[in-house]
Amino acid sequence: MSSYVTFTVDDGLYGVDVQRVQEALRAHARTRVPLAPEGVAGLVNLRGQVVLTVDLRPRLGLPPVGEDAQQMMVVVQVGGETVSLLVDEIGDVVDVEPDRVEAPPDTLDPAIRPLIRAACTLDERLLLVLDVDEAAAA
Amino acid sequence: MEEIDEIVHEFLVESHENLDQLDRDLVALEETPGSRELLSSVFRTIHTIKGTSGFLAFNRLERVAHVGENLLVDLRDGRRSMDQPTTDVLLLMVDTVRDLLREIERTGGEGDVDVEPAVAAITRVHDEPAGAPVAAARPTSSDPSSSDSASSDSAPSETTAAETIPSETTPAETTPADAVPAPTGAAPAEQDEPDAADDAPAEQDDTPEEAAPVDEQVPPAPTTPATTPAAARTAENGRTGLIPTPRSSEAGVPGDEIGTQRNAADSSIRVDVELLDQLMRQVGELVLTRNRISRLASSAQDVDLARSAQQLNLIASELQEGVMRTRMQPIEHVWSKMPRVVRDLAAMCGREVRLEMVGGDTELDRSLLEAVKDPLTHLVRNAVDHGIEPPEVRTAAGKPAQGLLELRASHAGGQVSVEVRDDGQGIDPDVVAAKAVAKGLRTAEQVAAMSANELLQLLFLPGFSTAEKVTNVSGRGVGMDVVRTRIEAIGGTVDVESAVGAGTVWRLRIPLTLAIMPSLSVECAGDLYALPQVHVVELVALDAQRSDSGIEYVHAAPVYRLRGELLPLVSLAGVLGVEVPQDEQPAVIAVVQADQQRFGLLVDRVLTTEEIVVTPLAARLKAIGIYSGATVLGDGRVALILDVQAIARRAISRDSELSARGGEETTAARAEVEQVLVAGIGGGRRVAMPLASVARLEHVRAEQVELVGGREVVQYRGTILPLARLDRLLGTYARESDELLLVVYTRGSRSVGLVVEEIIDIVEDEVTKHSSIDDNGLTGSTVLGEKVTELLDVRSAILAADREFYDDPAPDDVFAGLDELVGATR
Repeated sequence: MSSYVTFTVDDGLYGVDVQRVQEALRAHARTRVPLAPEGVAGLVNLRGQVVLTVDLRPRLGLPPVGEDAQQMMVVVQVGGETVSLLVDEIGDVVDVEPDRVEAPPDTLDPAIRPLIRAACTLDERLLLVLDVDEAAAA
Repeated sequence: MEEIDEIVHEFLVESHENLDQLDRDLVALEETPGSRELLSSVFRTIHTIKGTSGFLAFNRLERVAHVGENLLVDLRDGRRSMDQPTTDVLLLMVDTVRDLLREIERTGGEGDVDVEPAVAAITRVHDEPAGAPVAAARPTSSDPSSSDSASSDSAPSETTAAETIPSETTPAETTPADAVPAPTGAAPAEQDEPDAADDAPAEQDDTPEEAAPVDEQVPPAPTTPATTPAAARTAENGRTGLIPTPRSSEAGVPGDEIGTQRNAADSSIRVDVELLDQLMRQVGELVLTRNRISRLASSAQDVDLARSAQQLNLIASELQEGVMRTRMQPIEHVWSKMPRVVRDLAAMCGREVRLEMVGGDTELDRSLLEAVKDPLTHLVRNAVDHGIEPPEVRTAAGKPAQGLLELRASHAGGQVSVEVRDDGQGIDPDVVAAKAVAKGLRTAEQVAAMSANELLQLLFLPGFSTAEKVTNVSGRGVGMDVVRTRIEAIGGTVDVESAVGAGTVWRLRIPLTLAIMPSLSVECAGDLYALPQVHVVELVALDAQRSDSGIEYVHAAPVYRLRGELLPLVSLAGVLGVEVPQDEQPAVIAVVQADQQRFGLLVDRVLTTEEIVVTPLAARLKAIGIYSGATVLGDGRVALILDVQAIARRAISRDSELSARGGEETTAARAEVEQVLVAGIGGGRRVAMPLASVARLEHVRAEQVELVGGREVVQYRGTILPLARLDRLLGTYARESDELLLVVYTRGSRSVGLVVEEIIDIVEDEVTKHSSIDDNGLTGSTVLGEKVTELLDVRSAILAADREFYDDPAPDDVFAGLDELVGATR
């Protein structure tokens, strides 16, 4: 049985291993980093700590979010560093039984493939499990 | 003398710790006699004490340690096994050493502590066959002849230990019946001394260093639990016998004096560096919070709040300073290796080098110390290998055969300056230039246009090494570029000065600490950035009301006239590649200095100065190469810290190898640019000539001009300088004046002077945008500073002054001929 913190980006439902998640919270004001790689959404002040924020959308091949959209942050630990992932909405923590976890579909865009560890068939919809290290390295 | 005291002090601190450890080890060793690990530890300790005391000329101390060591050698080599008498005498030795140390600490000398009893006892045990120690010990203890010094008994618990305690005054009552071995008692009794470790933590101000990484000597005694119960018991018993021992040497000292004197070991403690780092981080956070509160307090109208904030401000600053000091270590820690490095290297390279070190007590943050270690070693090696010449070369050059290598450190304006100075052959800029061209790092034209100082900067380019042959000393791929990279990584700078034949100075400037630095918050396109104040020279406000605002453009490159000098400008928005809203125009020039280069950074606004805590950046942001870190500002916003050096390299220097975004525009505009000197020649005409070939500008009085063979010359620096008047050459007339302005060109030993009316400016000229005109003495024209400027055909102008100027070689005879002519006209 694996537990995932779920969230939505655009219309997709994604999840990351609950063990890697430090917290989930409303997105803070970000300081943009000119010249940074595309996925870097900026730096936020997380209780005095400077944390890199990664926008998952470009990495997932999704259009940028609207100007006034209220986003959320999923704060994860990556190799001793704290990184926050920018998502649309936070969902539940779901437990998935092993027999529902499958390899990602072959039809997946090869550019996105390294990002997706597995696909879980939930009752009502499909949950794509993100590789946290890969996602944070956007 | 002070330095000696410092060494002695450190020796004392170290030895006290070592002795405590030794006590424990010896006792533990008795329990497990075969432990090689313990034996080695004991041996090492004694050996260290012996070595240091020999070095410091504490002869008696050395003597005791020496005999002790002999005994330990036997133990280590297995010729003898650890038994009680052996332990006894070894502990006796420890006590004697301790007495000596105490005396040294109090008086600076060994006083009248008598070491003979201990030496005799140890020698006796050493000379005995290891087989029957106890049997042998008993008779000797009662043998009057053995007590060669006046008083040497007082056995705390057993008669066998008669010689073990060097109590010279009070023979304590012996309790032979007591079965617990004395040595076990000896250690805890020592630790129970009035000035034992428990009052130490409060007293760290005297010696804030000693923050060496945790080793096995951290005071609490995890190694002794096995012996502790027994020790505690015997401490009671042993005390009566033992207390006189340490006191004996202090007999003549009034009691209160002892009370006020702090044991060296107690006035400093060893602290885990991790803990200090943590403290430092927390202080960093505190400083941030303080900044925030100060900001709130200044906007609120509350007097009490303001006062409290003020106080918080003070306390936080002091705390910050204090914590920073705990991490400070004298640079000596790094230098201490240098004499050896220099000695070995000098021997290997056949040099004679005297090393002098000045300012070794200059302190800097230990993380920085660690970071400068390698670069500094490299510079020292480099100085010995390439700087200082072999003795015979030196003597031939009229210098003393022994070269002088100096290391100097000092504090200067919140930075530490470290110099590596040699009196060797110096660095020849021409050799550097030739090398740079040969290696394809620069073109011949580029180096021709560079000043000597700029040429020396080429040494820091990757792939540059002037060593003619690769030795195993240098040329191992660690070049000056690495030195520079390392030093800049910690926010420092390196530069080099050299005079051929006289020597070279490498100068490192290193910030005192990495974690907290003063910075200027600047705004650019709505974002805040932190600009480290170390680099900021001054701020210039641009007049927003004026349409031209004082910024001029040399084609695409903006410049500003700052007190008559042209300051190249770099738009921060341009470097960062951010869009600036139309109504937001840069209003401030932050004049910054990096790598010998001064330039103006155009920013929208300057907000405030603040102490910022540097947070390292994620690797992929660091790779951008524009930011050196990030910080949380007083208002909670995150700001990126600008790496001024990187920006300078990116945007300013023509030679930057950048290909990254942002800098492209600026470089492209500068690719085909050369600096030209613009001069007025009369009649409103301006000519431009390449600055690179201009040697000097000179003023001479009109009456100095003499005529030689129909040509005008002046006597100039002991030679004859032929002149050419550009106005006449180009068909115009300059104002008559008492003074002539000369642009002096030099080639080899020949010089000519071109007479101009005035020097207007030095500007950058884009070579490709010239229109060619076919006129005598001109090569074309261009637009400089919105005025049409003619480009002077320098060659023909020079030839007009001196027909043989370009006839190489043998330029001397012409001048010789001129001299004769001059002689003839007089």
